[in-house]
Amino acid sequence: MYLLPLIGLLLGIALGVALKIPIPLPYIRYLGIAVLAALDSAFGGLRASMEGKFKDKLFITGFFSNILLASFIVYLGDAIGVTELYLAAVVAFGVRMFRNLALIRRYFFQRRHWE
Amino acid sequence: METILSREQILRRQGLVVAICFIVGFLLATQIRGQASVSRRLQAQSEQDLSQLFRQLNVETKALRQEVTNLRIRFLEYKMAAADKKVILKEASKNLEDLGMMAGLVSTQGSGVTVTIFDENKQLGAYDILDVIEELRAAGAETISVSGHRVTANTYLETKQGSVYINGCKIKPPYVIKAIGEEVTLEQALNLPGGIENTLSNLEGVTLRIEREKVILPAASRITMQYVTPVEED
Repeated sequence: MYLLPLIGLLLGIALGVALKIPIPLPYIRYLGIAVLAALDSAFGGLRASMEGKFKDKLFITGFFSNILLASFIVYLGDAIGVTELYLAAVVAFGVRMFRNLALIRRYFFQRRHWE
Repeated sequence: METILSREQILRRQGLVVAICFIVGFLLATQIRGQASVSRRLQAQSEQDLSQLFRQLNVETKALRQEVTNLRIRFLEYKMAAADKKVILKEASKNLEDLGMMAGLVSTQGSGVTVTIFDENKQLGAYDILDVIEELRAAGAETISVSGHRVTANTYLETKQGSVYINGCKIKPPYVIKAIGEEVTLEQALNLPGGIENTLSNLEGVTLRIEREKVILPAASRITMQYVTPVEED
């Protein structure tokens, strides 16, 4: 159940390391936020699947729209001179990731009846 | 707890999750790599490297400053040399001018005196003219001419058959002697008591007229040196 996603993750990391795609300096922050959004979506999907509420389309659209929206917030912040606006995305994703992780942990325990 | 899913649904879901995980991994790795390279570039490895760079730049700055100073010095040197050259050139041309005037190569003008000697009985000879010339020279005359002939180092006067010749040219009275110099001194030298004016005026038919005025002297005809060459001196 968890093996295949893990393999996928490792493959992705391997490809990223192997390709060595150079990122222009100004876009580093965009990609960073995008990564956060992607991680958040992934954890959200994991939680949803543990709750049995996983929906393919919702997950996919959420994944990409999160990434785009996060990048857009960074861009917006740069455009209007509030470069710290990306913090909003960071905080939002960070809080949600922690909550999702906590829930995942709880479901995990529940499922194993450790509690 | 979980709703019953068909096999196909499960497969699709798993494939989806794998794909998403793949994308997440890819993004993560790329970003980490990019961030690391930026850190390496910007935060410039270590303080040691930075201080090394700093020192190197300092040395370069110093060298460039030194070069600027050197170039400035050279510029000044050249400027001074140019000025020197100018001075030398000016001096040389002044010398040339002086020598030209002295040698009679150019006509000259200036304040001086005109001495007109009337000699009705034609009793004056070359020596009398010469006396006047000598007297004027002694009084500091810078350039002299006799009846239109410039007196130079090569000038000679002679008397032949009762006539005065200058440089081989016959001149007739009244003899007009012009000299450039300090007018008063020149005049006084001529009309001293017992001087040349007195002496000549005592002769019958000889009268002198001395006028202080601005005079213009002609250039002498140029002579070419045929036998002499300068001696090279170290």
